[in-house]
Amino acid sequence: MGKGDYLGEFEQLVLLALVRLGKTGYGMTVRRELEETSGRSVSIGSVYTTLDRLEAKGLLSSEHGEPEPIRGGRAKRTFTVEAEGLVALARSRELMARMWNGISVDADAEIR
Amino acid sequence: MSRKQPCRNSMGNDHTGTNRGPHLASLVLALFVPDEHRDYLIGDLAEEYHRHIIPDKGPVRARLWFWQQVIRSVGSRMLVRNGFNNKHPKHKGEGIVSSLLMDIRHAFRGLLKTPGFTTVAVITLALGIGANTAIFSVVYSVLLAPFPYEQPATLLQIWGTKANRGWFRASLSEPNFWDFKERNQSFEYLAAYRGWNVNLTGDEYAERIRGARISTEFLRSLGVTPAMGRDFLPEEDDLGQDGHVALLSDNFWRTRYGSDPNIVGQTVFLDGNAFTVIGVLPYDGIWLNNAQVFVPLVRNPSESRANNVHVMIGRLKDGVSQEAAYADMTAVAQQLAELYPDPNEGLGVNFVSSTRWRADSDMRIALWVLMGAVGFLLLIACVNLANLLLARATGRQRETAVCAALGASRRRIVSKLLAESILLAFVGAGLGLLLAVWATQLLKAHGANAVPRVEEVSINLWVLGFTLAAATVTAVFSGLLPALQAPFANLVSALREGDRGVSGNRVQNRVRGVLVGAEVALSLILLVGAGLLVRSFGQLQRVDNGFEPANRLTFAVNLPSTGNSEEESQNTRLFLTGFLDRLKSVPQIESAAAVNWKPLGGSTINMGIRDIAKPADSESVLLADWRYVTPEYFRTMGLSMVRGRSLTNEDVMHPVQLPPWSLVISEALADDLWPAEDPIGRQVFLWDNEQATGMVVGVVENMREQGADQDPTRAVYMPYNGAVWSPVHFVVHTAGEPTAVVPTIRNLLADFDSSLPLYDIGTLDESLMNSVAGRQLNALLLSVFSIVALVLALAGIYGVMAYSVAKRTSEIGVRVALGAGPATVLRQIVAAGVRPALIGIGVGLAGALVLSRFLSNLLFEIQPTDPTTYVTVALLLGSAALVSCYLPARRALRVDPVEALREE
Repeated sequence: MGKGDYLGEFEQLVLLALVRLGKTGYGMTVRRELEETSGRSVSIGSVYTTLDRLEAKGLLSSEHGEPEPIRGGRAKRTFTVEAEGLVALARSRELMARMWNGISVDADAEIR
Repeated sequence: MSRKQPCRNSMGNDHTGTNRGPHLASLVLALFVPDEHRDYLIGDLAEEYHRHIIPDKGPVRARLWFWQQVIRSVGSRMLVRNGFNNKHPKHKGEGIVSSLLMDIRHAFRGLLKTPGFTTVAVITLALGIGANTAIFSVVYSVLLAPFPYEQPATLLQIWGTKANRGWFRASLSEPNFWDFKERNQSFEYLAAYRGWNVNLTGDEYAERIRGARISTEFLRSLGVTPAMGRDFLPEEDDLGQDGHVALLSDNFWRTRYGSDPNIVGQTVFLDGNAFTVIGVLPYDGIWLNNAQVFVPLVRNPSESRANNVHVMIGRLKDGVSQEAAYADMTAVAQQLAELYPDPNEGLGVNFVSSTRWRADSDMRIALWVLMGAVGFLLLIACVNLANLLLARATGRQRETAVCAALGASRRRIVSKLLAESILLAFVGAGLGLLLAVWATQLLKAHGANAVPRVEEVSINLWVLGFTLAAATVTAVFSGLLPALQAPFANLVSALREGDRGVSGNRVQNRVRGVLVGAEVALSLILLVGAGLLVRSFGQLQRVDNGFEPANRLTFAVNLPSTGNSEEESQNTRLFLTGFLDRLKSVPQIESAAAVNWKPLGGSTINMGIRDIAKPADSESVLLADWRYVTPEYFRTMGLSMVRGRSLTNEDVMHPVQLPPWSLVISEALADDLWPAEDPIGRQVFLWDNEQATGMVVGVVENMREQGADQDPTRAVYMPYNGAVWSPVHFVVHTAGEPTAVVPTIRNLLADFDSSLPLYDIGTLDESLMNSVAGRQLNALLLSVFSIVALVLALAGIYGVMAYSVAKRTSEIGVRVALGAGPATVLRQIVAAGVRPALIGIGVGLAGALVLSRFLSNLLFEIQPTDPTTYVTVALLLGSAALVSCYLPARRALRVDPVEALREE
């Protein structure tokens, strides 16, 4: 099993956001989902960079839509999570669970 | 979250019609994102912006959000290799461009990690490049922009000369112009221009406008055709067939007539006469925006040959040289002098090449001096940046050595080091451009009196190109030195020196010393230049002008022409006495007077004057300014009588036909006409005309009306005895703020005659300021540039000192621990730092001595080698350098020796 088989943290977050959005979404909805859940500010550029990388790995697919007036007459690019994407998420979660096995850390304790 | 609002579409001028985000931000994004990704990315931002962010955060914070997204997205694209373009990964070794892009991305990351360094470097470069861009935009529009006329080499302005009177740039009379035009063989077209102040009437209000009478070939001489409508026809200058046609200037058509496309064929009323508009002129920045309305110069057979008010221009025939044309025109002038010896004695011509029309030589010199000054400023900024980068590269010597040891080629390492300076230079250039835009706006708002045609100054493509070139030169200049200092040959020692090697080897210390010296020398030259200009401006302020400018209001009234000189003379007399009486009845007005020429207006009229006892040869005729004035003129201007009496009402009412008139002359003229003799009661011929005699009744103190930098004016003041002269200028001495009485004066004039507009309202203080505006701007700009240069240079010295002292902290600790006295150590450190600065001062003084002679034309009563300036500047710079060395040294000494040694 090579290094590239696991997802990075941000990749996981982006994929998860897409799943939470109902497996289909576009850059801005993913960005908002991430911002609202994590509470940290996310740039649209980094979201698309990650989406591109995930697509290159075959974990999701994208297509271009029709131009819309609210977007200043520009089209949308929507992303759909592929089956491989779900598999990769599950595998990353499994790895994390294995690593966490037997460890207990209180998130608040870290701050004190 | 609860205050959802409908998407508003009125957030400003960003989205007119379509829904997009802030325009400039979208543009920046589009610049960095490849085509195929641009659409959805900008679309996403626009949608979010309008649908969620504006309703949630309000328009201002929404805009901030948009910019933040753009900057961070561009940043993440820089950080991640190939960014959005992951689908088409680039292969290694694809060429220098891709490796350069990689280096720039690397540099970007490195600069973000050291925000302090990056900020200082970017601000330094923004100041240097911004100042250069701003000055270049002025140099471009005044000196370099394409000339508005074809074949400027064959286009000339022709002045009259009268060597016997000391006239070298005189206007010509109308009969002389027609004779020159008919008799010369050299010019394809010869044309004349005559200023004409005219009242525009017939609409709801009367307006005084600037008009010009031009001979019908004027536009053809320039090679210009009207932008709309037609040119004057050749026959439209015949007195009998005068069609009353007019051309409008581009600006007048836009502002007064709202760019009316149907203006051709409409009627305008000038001094009560109907004129048909036949066309609109293009803007040329030289002749065609000088006046607002142009009418043909109609041949007037009764026009006096002595009324020199016409300016001539000419277009040479093909193949005729300027020299041949000069010989030809001089011959014509001699014929005219023989034919009409009385007005034309000594007549000659003087050519001014059209390339000099846009700026006189003082303006050219001033602009090139300023360009040189900002060039120096940019050099200092470059040296500063080079110094900073050098310190940075030295700190990273080990990293570089590791790269080289691992097989990185020399080219790759140099390119990596250059990438930082390229990035900094271009970000600095971007900021500098914004600075320049702001500076040119400021100049347009306040510099109208100091820079010719300032409205044309703009940041155009040429200026952008210049900025780009300046940024490139900056990048190479400031990046190359540190890059060349990188270790290649001596890898082993570089690796071994490790972190201790960071204080740099001897070569690098020497390079830093040279850079500090260069900075000091350059800023010293700038400071000397600024000092000389500021001191000469101060000298100018100290000159006694003679008159009192405070609380003096000036304005003008245009008396319309009736065509009957007898009637006009009567009207003028009635108007002057009546209106002046009313002015004097206003409580805030202490005195009021009329004069036929604008006081301190920047131009003058003069005549030849001769003692009646002297022979009629050229040596006894003196040239003097002349004015018609009412009796209270001297008191109102604050001039005191030196001898004799002032003019009286009897002098004004004295019949014109019965000379001699009573005259008051200035001290300067009295001294030149009758040295060491009493001038009172002497008689003179006015205009060197034996019919017009005057008798001196008084001598008044000199005034420098042509500006403080000119000699005191030789002047002759004659009683305003009904001379027909329009406009009439008034001077009013007020008890308080002079402009406060303007409404009262306006009402007085309206009561007197509602058809007469009041115009050219100003104060003597303003006129005085305008006369020195150019010098003031030069002194101000050079001071600003040299102060910025000084700050940059000191920051540079301080930075180098602080850096090298910090690296020597442990050494200092050892020496103090071994018993060296703090004072001795301090002296040694400061001496080492100050040495290059002192050498810099020496070199700078020598450079300033050489370069300051270019300033000599711009100086007033100050020598370019003025010792006070040089010594002051050298002392100032020397002590500032001392302080910049002392502060870091003292801080290093405060460190506990034990602490310092432990670092070891």
